[in-house]
Amino acid sequence: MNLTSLNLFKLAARKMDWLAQRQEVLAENVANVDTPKYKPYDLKPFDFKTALAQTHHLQLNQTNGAHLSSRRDESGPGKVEKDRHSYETKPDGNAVVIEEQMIKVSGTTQDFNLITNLYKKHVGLIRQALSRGS
Amino acid sequence: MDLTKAMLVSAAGMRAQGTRLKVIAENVANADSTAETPGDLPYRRKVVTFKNEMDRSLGISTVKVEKVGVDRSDFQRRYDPTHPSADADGYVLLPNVNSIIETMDMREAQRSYEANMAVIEAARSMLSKTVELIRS
Repeated sequence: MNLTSLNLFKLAARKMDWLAQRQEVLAENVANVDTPKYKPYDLKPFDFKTALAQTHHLQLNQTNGAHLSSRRDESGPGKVEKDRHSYETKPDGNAVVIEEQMIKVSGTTQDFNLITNLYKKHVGLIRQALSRGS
Repeated sequence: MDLTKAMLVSAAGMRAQGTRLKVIAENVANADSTAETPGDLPYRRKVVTFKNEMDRSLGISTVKVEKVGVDRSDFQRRYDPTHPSADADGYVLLPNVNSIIETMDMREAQRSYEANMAVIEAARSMLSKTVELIRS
């Protein structure tokens, strides 16, 4: 039996992918906190509709080592887009607000904890079902 | 799992802030470096600029130090006829380093460094949570 064939695990894995990718985008924003003219990015929110659309997502086949994997915004489960709701823009054109980014980072970590705990719980449920099945 | 990439981006940010701190240290250390002879110019303040750059080997955009430029603002002047680099009127040119601005800059670099550190910490905790799934 493959765990990912269960929808719950599949969804949890996809959400974890999304959170990991978001963390990467946020890390880039924080690293560029003093880069002139840099505008922060964020991922498109993870919702049911996009999660459903992703199940029918097709990717280009790589038949040669020189082929590039795919474009940056298609590399993960989420779509990277410019964050247009940033709090403010500094005189040098940089729109990264460190507090805003840190809030997002901690929110992402919290969500990740939630998902891993849910995952654990489900594994526990399956284990219990198996152990009592004599 | 791309969390290692997140850590690499933050590490690049920390390296850039480290370079900035090094340049600030250079400025502060040379705050009183005057010229040796009357015609020469004293130490000129250096400024770091950053840029967002795509790292092709990693496939992610990180931050890099674009260049270490110089501050073209005017030098300060002080009346000190006994100084070896004093001009005919007895004035000495001093570096255009303002210790208050340098302190401010240093604090900002420190805060940015800490922010990058916090992101690494968050990514690390997420990664270890994932590894812990094996034990469940």
